[in-house]
Amino acid sequence: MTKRILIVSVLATLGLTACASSPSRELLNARRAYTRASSGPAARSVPADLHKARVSLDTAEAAFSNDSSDQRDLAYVAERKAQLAEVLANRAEHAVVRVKAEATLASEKDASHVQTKEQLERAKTDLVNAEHDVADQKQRAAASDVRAADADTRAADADRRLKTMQLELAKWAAIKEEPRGVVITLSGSVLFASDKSTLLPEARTRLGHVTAALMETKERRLHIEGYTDSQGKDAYNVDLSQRRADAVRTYLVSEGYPPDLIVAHGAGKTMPVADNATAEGRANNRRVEIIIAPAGGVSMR
Amino acid sequence: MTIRMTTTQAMLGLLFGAVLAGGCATARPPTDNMESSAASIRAAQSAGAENVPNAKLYLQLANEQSARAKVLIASGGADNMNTASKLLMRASADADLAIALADDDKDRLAADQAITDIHTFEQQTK
Repeated sequence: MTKRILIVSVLATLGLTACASSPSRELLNARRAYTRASSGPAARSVPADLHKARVSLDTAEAAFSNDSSDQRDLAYVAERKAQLAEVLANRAEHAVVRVKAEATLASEKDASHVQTKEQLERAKTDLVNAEHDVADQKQRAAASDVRAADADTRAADADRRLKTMQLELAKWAAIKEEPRGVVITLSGSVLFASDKSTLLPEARTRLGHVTAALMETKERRLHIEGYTDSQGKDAYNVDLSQRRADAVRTYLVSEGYPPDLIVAHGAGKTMPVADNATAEGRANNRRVEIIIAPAGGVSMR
Repeated sequence: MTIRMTTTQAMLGLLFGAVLAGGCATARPPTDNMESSAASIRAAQSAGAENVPNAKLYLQLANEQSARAKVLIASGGADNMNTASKLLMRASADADLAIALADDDKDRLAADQAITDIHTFEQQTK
């Protein structure tokens, strides 16, 4: 019986001791709150506030060790201080996010401003270039108009000179306009002695008048073509007509007509203009034609 | 604010007078804790704690504990004063946490707004 009472007394004492050493709910909460806060960003961003929570928890732990009557209240406060450190750490994180975002926005606005400025500068440059282009086009158009007017004037002048020349030539030779150009026909009997290719003195006088008229249009190409009647051998006639055409060409060049614009050709008995059966017809077929090519082209038979 | 301070001071005076009238001249009210907790509660209210759910909870706890402390102080007695002092210490801690939570809510909104501003600007300049 005495032994049983002793055992019960020991167990009761142990039980009381165990109860006295069990931490309160407030202290357990404070420990958990501090552990959570110290493992989060608070240690880095708000170390001073975390330290205050640590001190508060230590005070609560000391009160618990001393079995102080205010241990639960101190633990309550320690939990709040740990929570406070956590919230302050969150605030610091939010502040970092906000500051970074504001910096990013400012940077993007700056970049956008620069970009807009550059676009504006490019637009201004494009506008100035466009204005210059318009001015150039106007200038070119005006110059083109002037050139066109000059060309018209020159063409009119050339036509006028050609008409003048034709009127002058009509006094000395037969003139007719054909698709190949203006054809000046000179009688072979007037230009050359029979079977000869040397110009007669009278021919030189007449050719002198013709040349003077031709000099009015010396930018035109000339085709000089010699013809014979049908008598004699063809090869001889071709050779004779060639020499006569060359003689006329040589004369024109000697009088100043550009040699590179004159072509001489002996056509022999081809292309008769009259009947070779009669003396008059043969006389008409013996001839030299000077063909003034139309402006801008070379006319060939 | 001036009116609130005046009211609090008047209340403290009344409580102090009640204690003295109760014949317990040796049990002094926890004046420092009373002033400290009252200031924290006012600050929490000014910070808008009543409009933030988490903060509102802790502000409510602070108010409840402060009210209980006032009752105990009015009742007088050393034990009541001691208990009231502890309650006011708890109320201060709750109110301080409520202030931080209310401010944190504003900081979070400001951060969110800053990010929204970036997105809005990027949309406008696309």
